Amino acid sequence: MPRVENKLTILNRLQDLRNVRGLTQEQLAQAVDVTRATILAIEKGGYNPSLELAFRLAKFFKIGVQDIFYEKGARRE
Amino acid sequence: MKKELVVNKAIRFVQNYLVGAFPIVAACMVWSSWPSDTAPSGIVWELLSYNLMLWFSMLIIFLSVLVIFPDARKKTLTRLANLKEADEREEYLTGKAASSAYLSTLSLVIFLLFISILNVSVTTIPREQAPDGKNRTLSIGLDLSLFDNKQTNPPGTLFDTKRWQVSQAALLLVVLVWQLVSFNLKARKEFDLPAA
Repeated sequence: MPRVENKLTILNRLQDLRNVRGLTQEQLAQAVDVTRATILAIEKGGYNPSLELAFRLAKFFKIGVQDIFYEKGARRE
Repeated sequence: MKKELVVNKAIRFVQNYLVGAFPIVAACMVWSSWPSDTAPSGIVWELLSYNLMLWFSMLIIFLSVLVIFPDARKKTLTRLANLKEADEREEYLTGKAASSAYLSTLSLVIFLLFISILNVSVTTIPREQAPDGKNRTLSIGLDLSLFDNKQTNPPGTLFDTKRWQVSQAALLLVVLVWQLVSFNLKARKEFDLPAA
């Protein structure tokens, strides 16, 4: 059975998505029911959100989770 | 909703009292260990003593509430972690801080337990008994007694709780066992998966 390395670096394009929609961190935080500090931490790569929050973000932007979060080195569309 | 607000206000009030009154409690404890002529007398001392009793009672009740009610525990941890609002990242941060605090406290308690039961003594023995002229002996041992038996009561004392005062080593041992058992039980409960 193939093994998956146990440390993956997950990156995200949350800041780009937010900027495209002209939203502030505070507005996005309120929309997905977290604090502004959490949005800031996710954008800076200091915190990986829970699966539930990742889905909430995807639902808010009306895109798939994999369109926001991706593995470092993986090809982005 | 209204009930929750009242509970939150009560928790906040107790937290503020415990934090705000701590310097007075500390001062009271310091004063009580000084010679009696320097300690405040009369009504001031009475008030400080009542405050000390109230503070400890409130602390015990508050800690029991934290153990029983998860919401109160969460709010207090958020405040202790110096975070203004709580969300999933706050849980992650307090969880990380708690595990690190747990391990450091555990090592500290083990260290304190070790030095409280370690007994190192150097004694001098008469020269005539000393082999090869070496008249000093070094003994290293461990001494674990659960009760302090130093207290002697004046004659006529019928009951005194100090007779059953537990030793430092016993206290540390209890804290150590409590930490390990409570952590283990909580972890088992959290990690128990439903049967497939």
